[in-house]
Amino acid sequence: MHDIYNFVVGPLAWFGWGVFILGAIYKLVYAYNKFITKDATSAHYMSWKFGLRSIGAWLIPFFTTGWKNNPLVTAVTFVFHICLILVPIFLSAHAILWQQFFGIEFFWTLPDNVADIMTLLVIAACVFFAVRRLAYPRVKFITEAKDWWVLLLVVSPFITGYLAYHQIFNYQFMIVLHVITGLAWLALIPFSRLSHMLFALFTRAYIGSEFGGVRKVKDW
Amino acid sequence: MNKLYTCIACAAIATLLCFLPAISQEDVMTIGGPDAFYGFTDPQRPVVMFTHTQHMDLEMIDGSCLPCHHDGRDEEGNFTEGDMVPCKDCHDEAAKGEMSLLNAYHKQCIDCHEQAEAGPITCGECHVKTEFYGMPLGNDENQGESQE
Repeated sequence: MHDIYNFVVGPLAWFGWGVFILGAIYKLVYAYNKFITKDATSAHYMSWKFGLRSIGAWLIPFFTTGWKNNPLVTAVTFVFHICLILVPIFLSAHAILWQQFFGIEFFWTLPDNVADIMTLLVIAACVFFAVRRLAYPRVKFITEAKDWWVLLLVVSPFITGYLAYHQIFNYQFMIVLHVITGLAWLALIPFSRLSHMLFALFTRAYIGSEFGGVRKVKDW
Repeated sequence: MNKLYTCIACAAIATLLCFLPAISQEDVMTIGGPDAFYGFTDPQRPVVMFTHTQHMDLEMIDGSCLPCHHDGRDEEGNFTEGDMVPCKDCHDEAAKGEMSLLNAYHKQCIDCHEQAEAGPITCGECHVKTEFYGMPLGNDENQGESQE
């Protein structure tokens, strides 16, 4: 089992991170080129002021009309994204891997009991999103198979991580499964619906610039 | 005269008692926990059971106190032998960076186990959880036995 563990945290981890980083660069460069050649008129209106204003407005919970219209979805979305980003980065066990492999010392890590609750919040939010896709006709109508795959992709490192941390079922098997699902999550960011992680700020800035610069209105 | 003998006997016993812990090094050391002789009074992860004698008997250690009990390095970068003291005497629990107690334990244990291709290398193999919110997990028997 240690051979498999060493493989997944060694070569496979390099592969997963490589696909994520190179894929992200490729996607961003591709989208940028497409934007300035095929959509030059919009590109002309891109503005730091309106872009950042829009990003700022949408980063504040319940500030925009969109956030106010669906308070429950808004609350779950914010909690989900905050936990989703903080836990994988600041988990103490992950910080130890950074130290072990690269000698990078973290100035701060999440206390394990807090990270444990945040993990459960991510899983609960994914259950909420799944129920929402099934229960709301207008959401169900636009749900495709890939939406389910991406939800499974996102939740699986958190479920396996939770089970591995608590050492429920076979620990050595679970920790390997956790690393594999985590790497799949990273590697597929540029090539799935998770690419909004790369593009969200730019699409927001684009909409903000168009509303602010062309229509002369706020986009929230 | 009797008083003198009594005094000498007492002094001898006291001296012996001082050295006794060093001689009768317990086989299973518990690292972390409220008494925390080896550091970490309030550990985040489950305490670690370390089999001291079992490790000394290993072929690659062969009764030597190195590489664990070290004190600096020689010109070739190898550890030089140090005092037989707990790691926490030099490696500070509250410190950050390479010299911290946390890193000292992790690095010493995991690097050696990787080199030997034996012994635990993942988090949960050393930090064994025995219960999940009061429910026993049956992990106790695996403790310190992941010698793959």
